[in-house]
Amino acid sequence: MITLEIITPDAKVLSTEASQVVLPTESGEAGILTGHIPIVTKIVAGELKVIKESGTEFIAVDHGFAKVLGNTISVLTEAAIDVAEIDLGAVELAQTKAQEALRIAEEEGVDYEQLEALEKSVQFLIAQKLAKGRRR
Amino acid sequence: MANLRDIRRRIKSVKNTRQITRAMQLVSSSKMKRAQDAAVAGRPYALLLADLLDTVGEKLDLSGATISHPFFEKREVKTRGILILSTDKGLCGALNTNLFRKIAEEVKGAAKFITVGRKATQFVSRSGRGLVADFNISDKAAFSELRPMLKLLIDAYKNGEVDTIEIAYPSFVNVLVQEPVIQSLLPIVDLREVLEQLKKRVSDLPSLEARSDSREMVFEPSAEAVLDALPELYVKVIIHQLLLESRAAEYCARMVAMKAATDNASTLIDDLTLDYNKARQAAITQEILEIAASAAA
Repeated sequence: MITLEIITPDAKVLSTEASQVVLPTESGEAGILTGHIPIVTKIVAGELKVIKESGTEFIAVDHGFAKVLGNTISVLTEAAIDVAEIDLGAVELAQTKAQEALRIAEEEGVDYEQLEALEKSVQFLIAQKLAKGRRR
Repeated sequence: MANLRDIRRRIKSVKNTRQITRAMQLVSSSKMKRAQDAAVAGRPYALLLADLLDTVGEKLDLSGATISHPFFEKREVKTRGILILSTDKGLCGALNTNLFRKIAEEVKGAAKFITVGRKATQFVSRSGRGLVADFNISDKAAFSELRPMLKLLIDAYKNGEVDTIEIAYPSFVNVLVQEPVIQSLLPIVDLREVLEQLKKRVSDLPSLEARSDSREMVFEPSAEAVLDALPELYVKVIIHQLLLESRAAEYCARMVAMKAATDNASTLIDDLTLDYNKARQAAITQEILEIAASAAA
């Protein structure tokens, strides 16, 4: 068993035991099992899979970092939402808004950093939709 | 003996003041609760981030690669960069005064100041110190509000305009005690100290105990890529966290100050009421005496 912790600036979202955890890293999905070598990795917006004996849970995470050390995985991310809590309608609305803002921003040529933040928020919203879709 | 009407007027005015201070006490006590919750909720993230950075630094050293990152390099300190976190409003006891006294005592050489809150701006400009910029941050202190400030700070450090980044803020000890602290943030030299300090305030994080792994650390996609983003994020998150803590301290201080003011007003009203009754009694006695004297005559 490995311990998984997901922590965002607002709260500790999750702290649980799992038999396997699949992280959305920059270089693709990475499954972490007991006794994994220590690793520090950047994670991207996507779905994080928690595989337990009782079943698999999906959690949509934003970009951030993950550290695996001695059978503990700590995931530091800007935001994380349990798939069960995702409201698809709200996500879609937010996504349309964000994409619209992105489009306007691109046309008017605002500063690069703001653009990047917007893109990241869209990525996270898409990740939430994907993770939700997977469950059904 | 003071005039009856004068005393009555004073009682009324003190009562009004008490009403205001009591309202402010209630408002700040509810705000304090929220600010404390926000500060507590942010601690695990800040702590784990510091821990992660510490692990990365340690493992990179072990594998023989020397850390070359501007945030870790110790430069000769010519100009100190100091960020002051203060309040916008007064009426919070000696919170700001204590902080400014500490700054005046400890910062003697060349220094540049960036301030949050109107009180700090006033202090820095009135005492003729070098003020670079001042920022207004709302009560909520959302992370996005801090972005321009953080960018300015980090750029100033990278360009060599300042050689340290230190944060002066009122730290929250308990509801009654707030202690002014100047904490150095950049260059990152005493990460352990920051870690210890944070650890004392956070409990139940299993990942903190699991540190005894001697195997070599792997970095994905590469050590450089991780080290590229991590220190900057660390600095930002720590500053945000300290801001949240200083907000909690502010509301505590204000609540205590307003409670003291309300209590003082109550005592004053009691004293004045006593005076008023004495004066009234004296006047009645006087009148009776006069009537008795005129009847006897």
